[in-house]
Amino acid sequence: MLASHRNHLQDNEQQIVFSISATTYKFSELIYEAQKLMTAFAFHRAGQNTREDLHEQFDVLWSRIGVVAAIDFKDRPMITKVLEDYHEWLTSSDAILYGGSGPLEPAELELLASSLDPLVVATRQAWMFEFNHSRFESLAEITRPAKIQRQRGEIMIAGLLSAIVLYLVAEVYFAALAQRRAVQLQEAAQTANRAKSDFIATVSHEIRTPLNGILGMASHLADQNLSEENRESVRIIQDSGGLLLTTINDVLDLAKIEAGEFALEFGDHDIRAALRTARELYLETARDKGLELDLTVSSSVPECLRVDERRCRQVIHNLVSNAVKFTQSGYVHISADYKKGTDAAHGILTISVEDSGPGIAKAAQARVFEPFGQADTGISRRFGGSGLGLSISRDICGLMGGSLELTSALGRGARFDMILPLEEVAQNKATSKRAQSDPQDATDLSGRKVLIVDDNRTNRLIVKKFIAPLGAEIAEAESGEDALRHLSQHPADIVLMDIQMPGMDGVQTTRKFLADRAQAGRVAPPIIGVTANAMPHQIEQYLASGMKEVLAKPVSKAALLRMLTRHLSEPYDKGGPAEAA
Amino acid sequence: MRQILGFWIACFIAVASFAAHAAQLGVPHGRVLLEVSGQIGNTNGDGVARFDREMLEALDWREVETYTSFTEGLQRFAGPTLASLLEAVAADGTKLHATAINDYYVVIPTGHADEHDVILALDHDGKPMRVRDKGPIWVVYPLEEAEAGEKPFDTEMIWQLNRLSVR
Repeated sequence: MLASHRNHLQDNEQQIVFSISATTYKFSELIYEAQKLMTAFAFHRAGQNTREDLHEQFDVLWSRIGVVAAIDFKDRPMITKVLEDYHEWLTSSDAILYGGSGPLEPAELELLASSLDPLVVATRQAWMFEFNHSRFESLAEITRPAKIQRQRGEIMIAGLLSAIVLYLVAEVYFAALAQRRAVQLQEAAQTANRAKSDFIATVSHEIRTPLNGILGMASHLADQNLSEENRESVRIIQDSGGLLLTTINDVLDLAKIEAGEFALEFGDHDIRAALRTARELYLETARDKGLELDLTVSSSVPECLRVDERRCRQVIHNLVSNAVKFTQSGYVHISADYKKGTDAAHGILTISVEDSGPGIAKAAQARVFEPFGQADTGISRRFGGSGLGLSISRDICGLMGGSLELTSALGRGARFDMILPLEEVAQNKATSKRAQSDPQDATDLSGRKVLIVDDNRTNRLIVKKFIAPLGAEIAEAESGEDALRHLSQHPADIVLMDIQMPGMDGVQTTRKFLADRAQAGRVAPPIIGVTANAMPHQIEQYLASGMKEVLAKPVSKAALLRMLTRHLSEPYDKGGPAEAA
Repeated sequence: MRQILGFWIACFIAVASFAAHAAQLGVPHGRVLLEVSGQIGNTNGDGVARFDREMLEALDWREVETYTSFTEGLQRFAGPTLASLLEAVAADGTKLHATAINDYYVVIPTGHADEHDVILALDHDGKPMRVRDKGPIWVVYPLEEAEAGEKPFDTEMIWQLNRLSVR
């Protein structure tokens, strides 16, 4: 690269000729401007120009000296000497010319002119001598621009080369640095995410505990003989509490999804029943609004599918409740269709919820799936809701390997398609939901001994009110220590154990109790965790301590009774030998 | 409605600024540094437009940092853009005959004013240039160091400029 650059310059003799011409021009201009100043002095003496005219011509000459002085005159003493003399003359003349105002004195003019004249002659002689006695190449050498340019060119190329090398080194270095930083950031993000999940779990616990009290008591009140007015008040408490619970559950779900702790529980279920339930649930609201709410299930939908029914229901409910909520008149159609895939067992289930509501503008369609996103901000004020439902629903569908898609246009209603790849299972495996529902009337707990361990009096009271009417004998303990004391003296068929308690917490108490029983060779009654700490990793920890099951607060009456029925259906052998631990 | 209003406002501004331009060219009170002649629409006497420092300062004054092949290292120049001067005199031509105090002259295409952001530099390193320092006006083309080495506009970069003629 350097060589070719040099060749380019060497070949370019024109440039050398130009350089010499330029230098010649600079000398001739210098001589010309000096002569013009000589003339100006003569005019001034005759009163034909002003001091300012002299200033201007003097300055022009000064600038020409500057141009010639910029040439590199190394080893050319004649020229160097002339330039030195000029500088001396310029400095001394400057004082005279700019030292006063008005016309100059004749003596001053005489001094200036007589000292400039020999300089003009000397300049001419110096340049003629160099031009006549130097070789062509050597003349070219003193022409600064060519020389400078060559140096500049070489410096530039060398600079470019080192810049490239430097760039490569820097690139490698910074890539490594960035990689390390990315790992650090990832770790920091994970830590932050964990902290957030913990925070949300804590907050949700703090809200669920009092909510447990509100909903439990309201539920108990509703079973009493109330006046119509009070019944309405209780209904509002239940509705509001229910809405709050839904929102907390949504937030918790979102936190679980974000923390990657959202676990699906697949089982064999009849999705058609879930769809019927969803329709029944919203039928009354739809009727009140004058909406048509119907369900069409294609005969291709299998009776039994392997699916996380709870989560599936959550999405269906969310879609149907949204449709009913936002549609003012017309209809909401729910439909389901199943298409078999290449292998017989696998297929695609599509559940569609279509409405004749206001529709969603194209621009807002992506936003409705964002957490807290709603098509227009006025919606939350008019209809309520956290705005989390669709975001969670889409995440759930995604986790199941499917998708949730929206087709809509403003003013033309909206259709949500829940598309899930699901496996068809043999019919007889389907767990009948009906068999386990509504156990409360059939359950008879007479003679059963239940120990409720909770530091919160309200919580104990709720559980007590739920199960007391069924004939169970209830004992209470307000701490882990208290529970252990009670269990050492009194038999129990089942223990409902709170987790967060001052002193020994539920996990410690469970471990200690089970260990003591194992040591004594005695069978332990089942321990059920009852907690507002409902994150999957927490539940796992409770089960690991030996609890048989975990119920999330606020505890619903139905869930509590179902659980009790399950564990108390076989009589517990109080004095028998230890089962395999 | 808003668009129509906007249109009228734009029209008003256009007319007002045109009127302002026509009336803008005042009379120099200080020493005349530059005289513009030739095909120009705005003058302030004898078919020419004369500018003193104050009038030039009122134009689109810029400060630039640039390299020239006549100087060493980064240079700081300040002065009005050539474009703003041409606009002020309502120049109507394709060429500029730029003449220095000593009658040296070059031809500059008027298009260069916008294409190369040409500056009529009056100040060098924060001080007004004297004639001995290539003042009162040096036509400066802002360039990178490498570009300046190639000397693309050394001919046009006339110094000691005091006259422009629009052709």
